[in-house]
Amino acid sequence: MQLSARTLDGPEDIGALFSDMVARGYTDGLPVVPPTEAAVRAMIEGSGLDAAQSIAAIPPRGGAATVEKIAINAVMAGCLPEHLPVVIAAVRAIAEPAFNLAAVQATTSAATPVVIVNGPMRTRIGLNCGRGCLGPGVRANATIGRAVRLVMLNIGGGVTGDVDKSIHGMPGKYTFCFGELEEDSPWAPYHVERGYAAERSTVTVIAGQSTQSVYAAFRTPESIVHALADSMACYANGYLRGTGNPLVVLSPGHARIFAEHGWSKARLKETLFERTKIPLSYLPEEKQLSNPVYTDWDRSRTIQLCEQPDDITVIVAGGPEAYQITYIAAFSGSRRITAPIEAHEETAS
Amino acid sequence: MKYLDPTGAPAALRRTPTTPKLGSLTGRTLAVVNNGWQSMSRIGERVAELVRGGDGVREVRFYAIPRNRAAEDGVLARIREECDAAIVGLAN
Repeated sequence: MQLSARTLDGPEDIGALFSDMVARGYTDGLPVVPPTEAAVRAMIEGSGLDAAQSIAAIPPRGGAATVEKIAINAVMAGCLPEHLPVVIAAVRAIAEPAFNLAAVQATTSAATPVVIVNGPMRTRIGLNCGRGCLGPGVRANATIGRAVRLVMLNIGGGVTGDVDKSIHGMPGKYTFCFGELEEDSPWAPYHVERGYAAERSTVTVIAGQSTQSVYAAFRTPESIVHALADSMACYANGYLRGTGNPLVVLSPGHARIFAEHGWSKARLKETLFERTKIPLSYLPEEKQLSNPVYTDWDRSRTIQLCEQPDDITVIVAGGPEAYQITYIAAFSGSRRITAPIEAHEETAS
Repeated sequence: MKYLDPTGAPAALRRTPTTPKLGSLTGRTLAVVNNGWQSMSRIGERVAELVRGGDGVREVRFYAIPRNRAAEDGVLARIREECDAAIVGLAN
């Protein structure tokens, strides 16, 4: 296997090496695994891909993300070789023009790609889809999401404070990856909803803002929807363009309550879409500096979270109790992308 | 310790001029392309005043582009067709 990346000389001491890489701007501030040639070769060999294969150009710098460059960043993030196909699919997805990565990278908001995995690959790599799936503790979740971030930094040029103008940032910008708990969902998995066969594995990326924990320990759909819609309906969070893909992460317990009462996922989305409309008269009369889409609308109109109910993404994941729901507001101007994990990559892992 | 460079350089850009450079704005039509921030609205209006007065610009036309994504091809084609030069607001 021919590698083409430049070889750098760093200190032998692991702590000093980390400092060297921090000084060069190669990390997110956390320690990284040194991307030695041997480690990178092992990463690529597991993928079944050619090291030189071009995957995407990463905005805004337009850096060339080859399999080799992605593998280097995956090693640094702590990935195992079997994680690489997921990272590559996620990189393909965030580079799709409709995802609008240049804006996601440079915005003053807290937007970051949320990586959601569906299909058999989840269990093969030990991805946490259950309790605590959005938190720490599982290598696959932590390192796959982090590898995507390092690609955005090192190949896309998303340097904090320079290109990345996020006012506060958010912890999810370090890593943000989980899977759908398909086995405990009463509904079709998300990738099947998007037209993929259940036995395919996919990655979906959504530009999300932050996580909001919604306490909805009710036993009827009406009450659960009331609490959830009330948490989602915040005109300052995701309504500026009336576009984007709000993300609802529903516990299996909540999903079961909906299903037992005859609610489909589509009905849930339609209900949330209607219940999150806000009268424009509720907003301050002063205009926002950025001229939101509703700037010149008649104040008798309502504003909405997204263009249509199906723009809301509902994923079943997390612990089984029907207590908390996580809501992740959309970054307007970005569209969710679902990309298959290519068959040969999946087989190779 | 030797390790591999994680950064990726962009492919080399080939710049191909698509429009001739203007020697002067006199008698020309100028586009002010606004990405939707009030700051750009003010800047655009002020620029229009200045060029109409001092530079003899024939006409200033205003165009709206999205705040945080690429402009649609149709808008860009209209600007190309209707104007000789453009001032573009891209940030906030």
